[in-house]
Amino acid sequence: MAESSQATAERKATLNRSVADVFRGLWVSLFYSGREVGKSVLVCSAGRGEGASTVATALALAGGESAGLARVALVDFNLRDPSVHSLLGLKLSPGVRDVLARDAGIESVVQRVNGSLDVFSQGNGTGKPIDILRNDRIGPFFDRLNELYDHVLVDVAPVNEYPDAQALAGTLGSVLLVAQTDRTPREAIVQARKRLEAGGGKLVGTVLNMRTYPIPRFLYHRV
Amino acid sequence: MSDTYTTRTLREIIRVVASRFVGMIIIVVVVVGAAAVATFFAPRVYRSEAILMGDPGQRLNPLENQAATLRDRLSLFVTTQRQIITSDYVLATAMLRLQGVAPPADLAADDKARTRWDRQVQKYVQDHVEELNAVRKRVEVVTPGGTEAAFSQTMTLRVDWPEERQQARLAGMEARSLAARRAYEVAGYIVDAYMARYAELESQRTRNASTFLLSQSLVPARESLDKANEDLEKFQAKLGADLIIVRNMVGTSVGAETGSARLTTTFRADLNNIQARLAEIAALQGAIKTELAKKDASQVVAPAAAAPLDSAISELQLRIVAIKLKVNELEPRYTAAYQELVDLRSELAAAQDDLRNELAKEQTRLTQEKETLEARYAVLSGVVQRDRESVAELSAKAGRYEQLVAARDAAQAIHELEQKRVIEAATAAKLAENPVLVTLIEGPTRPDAMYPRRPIVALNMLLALVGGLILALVYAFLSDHFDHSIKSIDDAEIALDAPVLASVPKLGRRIIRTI
Repeated sequence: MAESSQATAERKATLNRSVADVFRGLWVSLFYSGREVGKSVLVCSAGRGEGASTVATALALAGGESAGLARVALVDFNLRDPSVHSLLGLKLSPGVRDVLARDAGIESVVQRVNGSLDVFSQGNGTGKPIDILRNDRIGPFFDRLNELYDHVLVDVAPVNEYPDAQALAGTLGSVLLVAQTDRTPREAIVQARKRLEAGGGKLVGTVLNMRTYPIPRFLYHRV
Repeated sequence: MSDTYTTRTLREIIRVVASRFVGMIIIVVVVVGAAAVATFFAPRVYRSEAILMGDPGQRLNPLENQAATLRDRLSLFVTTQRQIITSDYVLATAMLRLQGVAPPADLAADDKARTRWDRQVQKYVQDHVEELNAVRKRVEVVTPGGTEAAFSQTMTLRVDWPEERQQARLAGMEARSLAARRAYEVAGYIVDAYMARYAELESQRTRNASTFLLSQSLVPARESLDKANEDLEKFQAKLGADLIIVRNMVGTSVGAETGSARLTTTFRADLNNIQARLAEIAALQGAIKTELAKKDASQVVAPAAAAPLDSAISELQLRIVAIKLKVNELEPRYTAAYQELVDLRSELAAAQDDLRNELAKEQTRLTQEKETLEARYAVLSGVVQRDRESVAELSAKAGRYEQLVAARDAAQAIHELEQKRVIEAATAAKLAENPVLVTLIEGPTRPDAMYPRRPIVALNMLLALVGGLILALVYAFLSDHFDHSIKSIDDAEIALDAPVLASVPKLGRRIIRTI
């Protein structure tokens, strides 16, 4: 892909050191711990603003570092509120929408972050989400990604609010659910899992985001 | 998770408290602050106390005999006094006096003045319901056992008079001394009004009791009892010898029949029995007669009905049958001249003759029995005939007797009841003449205007703190209970049945930096 990196990152994105280990660990337990996880993983949350995009991006960054020779792709399939590009300091366009709408080549829309991480932004386009979701090119697009990369992470809109994740769950198979501590209700994640499973996906694990530790440290070690 | 259950519970409690620490602090601060403000702005209160004593221990009023034990009597006394002191009438009288309206001096003697005064008090009560309720809150009757205890002879009347708001604003020290004087005055007036009211109520009771005594309802009761007794004696004299029979009839009457009537019934049954027996005898005699009329003795047979009557007849019959059997056995084998056969034949003839004789005897016996029975029958039917006439007369007499006895009993019951009431009323009157004296042991105290009763600030603050803490804990645990959000890895795993692969701590800054 080196030859097709027409859009490279203008700025270098790095993980905050205090959480880098957490995401490296997550990467390892997701892909290298003998779980039945496919090449591509859908990352979504139950509700809006619970940090699915951030977790997906951070996970991709950590994976890109630790994967070594493995190649990692991060796809921003969040049709409602794309944010991967801004997290990484990339451009919104070109991206996935271009591929699906105009049958542009994958190589023409990829943006490289570092040696092993390639990012597909949302891309410009006014197509309605429903039209994009029923696009025939979705299947071939992901097949192509699976051929080119070792691991594909897909960020998608919240599952309890939009049908996007449910629609993609069947295509991608494995799903990583992000929940925000002290905010996401138990009922919401249960509902999210039901929806994902109804769409044909398999929940491989959960990530608790924004975890707080209300018990003061000096007390926590005593009780 | 190698934690023990207790540790986890403790950790859970600490988590709940720690995660809502700010809210809890706010609640405690608000409660304590509110208590502090309320304490600070509470009006100054002046207290005047008067100690009263009464001795109801020796009092035993049959009209109040539900309260038999000393404890009950004391309780009743104290409760009653408390009711009187805080009654509208007493409070209204005290308030009227506070306004300079004193009751007329000769209330006890002058009925008209009393009615007028009562009307004035009633009017005050009607017009100042709110004010009287406010005053009632300031008046308290305390016994040594506590506010609600009633086992005591002494009672402390407490009047807590607050400083009036508008007056406090007008003039500081003057308002204080006014409130202190008010407390003292009101306490004094309430004591006066209460004593007067109590004396009045007691004398009213005396009057009620003596009114009852004067009504003399016992005399008519006594008269009617005497009359009933007299009537009964007269009737008994008239009955004379029949008295015993009548008494028996009254005493032993079963169902609708009296004694004599029952006797008649027994006789009737006897007569019927005799008649049946006579008919039986007649039939038997007829049967025996036909048997006896037969010429040939060998043809005689005992009638079936006669056999069980006489054992001789039945024995003879058995013998005849036995001989006949033997004859029948011998006859085909031997000629008529055979000696044994001849003997048997003669024996049979003799037995038949005996039977005939026995039957004739039986006939005679039956005739005798018949005569006896007929004689008895005549006697009995005579008795029944005579009785029938006297029974009607006797039962009329018994009915009258019964009526008279019932009337006597009723009169006696009424008389006894009246007697009891008179005794009770007399006791009540005697007690009321000498009522429980309530004495003022210590006059109302004069509160010092310089030292109003102040709430104990420290105690109030402490109570507010404890209350606030409890409220804050209730808030914390309730809000945690109703908060369904995921709080721990356990929560998520229990809800989803899928592993939590990572938990990302909350950072104050961005997770991804772009340089």
